[in-house]
Amino acid sequence: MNNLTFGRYSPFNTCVHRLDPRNKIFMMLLLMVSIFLKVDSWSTTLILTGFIFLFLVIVMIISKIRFLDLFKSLSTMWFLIIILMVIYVFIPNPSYNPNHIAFYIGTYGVNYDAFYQSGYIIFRLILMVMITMILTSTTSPMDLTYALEWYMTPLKLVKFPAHIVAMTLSIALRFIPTLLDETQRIMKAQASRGVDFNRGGLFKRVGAIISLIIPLFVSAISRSEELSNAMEARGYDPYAKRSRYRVLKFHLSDLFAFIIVGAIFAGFLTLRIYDGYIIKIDFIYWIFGAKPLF
Amino acid sequence: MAIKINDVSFSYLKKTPNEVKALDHVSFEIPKGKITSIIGHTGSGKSTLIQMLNGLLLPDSGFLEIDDFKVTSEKRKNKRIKDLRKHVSIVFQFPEYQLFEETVEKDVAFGLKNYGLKENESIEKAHLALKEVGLDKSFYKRSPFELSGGEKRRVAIAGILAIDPEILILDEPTAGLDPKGSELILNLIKELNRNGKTIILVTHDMNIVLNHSDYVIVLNDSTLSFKGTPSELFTRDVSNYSIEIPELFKFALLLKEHQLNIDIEKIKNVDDLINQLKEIK
Amino acid sequence: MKSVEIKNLNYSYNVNTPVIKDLSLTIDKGEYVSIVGHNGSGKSTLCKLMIGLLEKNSGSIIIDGVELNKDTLNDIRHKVAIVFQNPDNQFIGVTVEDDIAFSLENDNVPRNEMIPLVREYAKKVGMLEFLNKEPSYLSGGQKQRVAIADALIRRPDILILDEATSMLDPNGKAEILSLVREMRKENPSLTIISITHDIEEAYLSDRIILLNEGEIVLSCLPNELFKNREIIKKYNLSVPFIVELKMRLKDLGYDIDDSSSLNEIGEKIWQSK
Repeated sequence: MNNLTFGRYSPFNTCVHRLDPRNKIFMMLLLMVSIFLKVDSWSTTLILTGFIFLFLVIVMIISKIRFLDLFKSLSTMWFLIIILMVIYVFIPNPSYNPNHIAFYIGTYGVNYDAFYQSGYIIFRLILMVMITMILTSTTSPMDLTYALEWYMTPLKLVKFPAHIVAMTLSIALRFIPTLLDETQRIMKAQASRGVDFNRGGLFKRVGAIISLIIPLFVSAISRSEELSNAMEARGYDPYAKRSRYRVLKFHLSDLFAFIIVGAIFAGFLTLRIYDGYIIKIDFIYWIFGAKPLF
Repeated sequence: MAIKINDVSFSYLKKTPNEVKALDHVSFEIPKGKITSIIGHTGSGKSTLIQMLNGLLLPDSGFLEIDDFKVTSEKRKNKRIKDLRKHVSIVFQFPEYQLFEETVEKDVAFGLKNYGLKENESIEKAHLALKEVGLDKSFYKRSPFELSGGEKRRVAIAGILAIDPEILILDEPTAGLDPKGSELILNLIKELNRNGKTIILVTHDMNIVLNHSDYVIVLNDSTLSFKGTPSELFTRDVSNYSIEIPELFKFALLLKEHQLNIDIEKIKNVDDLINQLKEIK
Repeated sequence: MKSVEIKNLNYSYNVNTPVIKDLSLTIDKGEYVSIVGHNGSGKSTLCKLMIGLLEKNSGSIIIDGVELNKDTLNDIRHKVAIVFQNPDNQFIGVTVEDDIAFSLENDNVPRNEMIPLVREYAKKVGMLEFLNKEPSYLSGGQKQRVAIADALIRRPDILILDEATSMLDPNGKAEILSLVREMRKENPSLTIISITHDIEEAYLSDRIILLNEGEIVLSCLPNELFKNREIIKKYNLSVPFIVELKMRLKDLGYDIDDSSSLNEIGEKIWQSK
């Protein structure tokens, strides 16, 4: 259970934590789109994404997210990264410049561009992980649910039960820690009966998992029964009109944050639109007056 | 051979803002062949401690010696963990939640099979364990999920007994049971001890401490604050430990203070008190 | 005035196993009643019938003059509130304040009225400083205190405690019992029905009802029940220490009928030496 650190909410009280979750979700989307807006020139694209990287690093520092946690969550993706590399390096792509051959494996020429391409993809992947991590570590799951419910409000017009979905989500979130505790307890109890969850062949492992899953299900079902009793006894009716205790507030700080992220997005969008049509965007060329290598 | 806890420390959620110290340089011994109660408020470190005794948790520093086993902070040095768990078994609180097989006998035999016994052999031993906890043949083929709470608890305990550990740890074995169910479990514990098993009880119930244990360990805020016999504990000032002295004991003390010839050490239950009063009279 | 009136109530999960058998019972307003009996005697089923979580087979349940049926269900649930056994499984909100507000949200109470109410009831149960805490940071006793606030905020006439202290440690138990005592002082008209195995707890109540296999065996003052040795033995009840001590000393020939505390009993013994 200890490796579930990725994206776990860490209850600090920084200015990032205090932002309106609806705003945070929207800003997250803007940044993600920005990452995918690339210009024709490779070097410029890398500078631009590098800028977002720096920005995210600053936000991570402000919101007290440990970089160790980032590396931990990235380390679970190494397999994906290798696969990506292999695909890009060994699958021929006509868009690669044939003059950019790095070295030959047999008769197959490995292209520099393949490394740039895959490196760029991986870089974007890391940025995506950083963005989601910032969102989930600084926003309590509950606030996320409320924000999602808010975004789902228009769906009520087509009779989509947004409030029921939100209630279900919030209860699921509420019970995650409880069920994790329960899982650990059952694992320990079964370990006392000689179950080894870490070693053994496939057959043994399946047996071990069954000895965990069944008790967990039994207890989850009895919990859900008691929970629904408690909710009913306290007058919950999913179809009745309910008032809200918790409301989300858009503060002045939200506006500032939005302006910053909005500016980044607008900048990227402008560059993307201008690129190639009006002027070729190439920072390196502009600054050094030289055509870069790639 | 004995159970020794040597300068053991442990924290949860290490290096996070929510770090919690569970044990802070704790050392003591638990005598073999006796019933020892470990008491302390919630969060005092007692569950952490029992989990170390069979290697479910490893200490951050210090070490534990259980007979010829050693539990230390270094993961790779604890190779015989599976043997240790056969030697020291824990019945966790609400153990009925660990049942999962289709029949009672299969569930009890589950542990034995994990320790390498053959199917028929383990079922045979399971039957013996079920007999020990007072469940007869009619239970063998029933589903554990259709039993009453007290019966489930006994099946779960049988599942541990079947493994035949030398040292048996029970965490709040009577929690949530009605008086009849509790009595059955407590009598079983006594019987097991009489047959030579070392028993460690984690409990909040001071009557169990007084009535059933030979030795008592008090943990308070992650440190050891008392070790000795129950009567020694209850004659002390326990106001800092959040312990409620059993009324029986209070009464016996009261009589003793008034020059009645009461042997405090021998008061375990009401019968003992009445018998002593009879002699005085 | 009658608070609860149950007449010839029957309930069974399936045809062969009746859980409640032709049970009749009245409880007065402001009375504190304990229902005892071993596991499976039908205590919890009775509670669930009273708040309409289960539907009776026959008979009637009248709460405060209103008969429980489909139309009055919502009404009855405002008169009867319940605190269940497991502190975790009745904590619905993500934090203490959300949980206390849950009932109010269901009743569509406007937000500006909710905020002071949530604070008021959190204060009543001594949880004001924990308003924004999540359940995993609370002790069992604290969670049950929140559950009591959840119940009280519905302003019920009847509060059912369904083994509300059985999963708590001694500290938690003591917290809840003293809270119940305060509640009664503050609102003497609140009827309390407590289901419990804890005999010391039952001893505090005005009346004990002993239930066995869905039938009432006995309904009397706590002292009367504990004097009835035959019943105690037959139903395997435990007895408060002081009651047992008095019984045993009487057998020894001490005259301690009018002594009510351990001190007084002790005095008799050392005086007779």
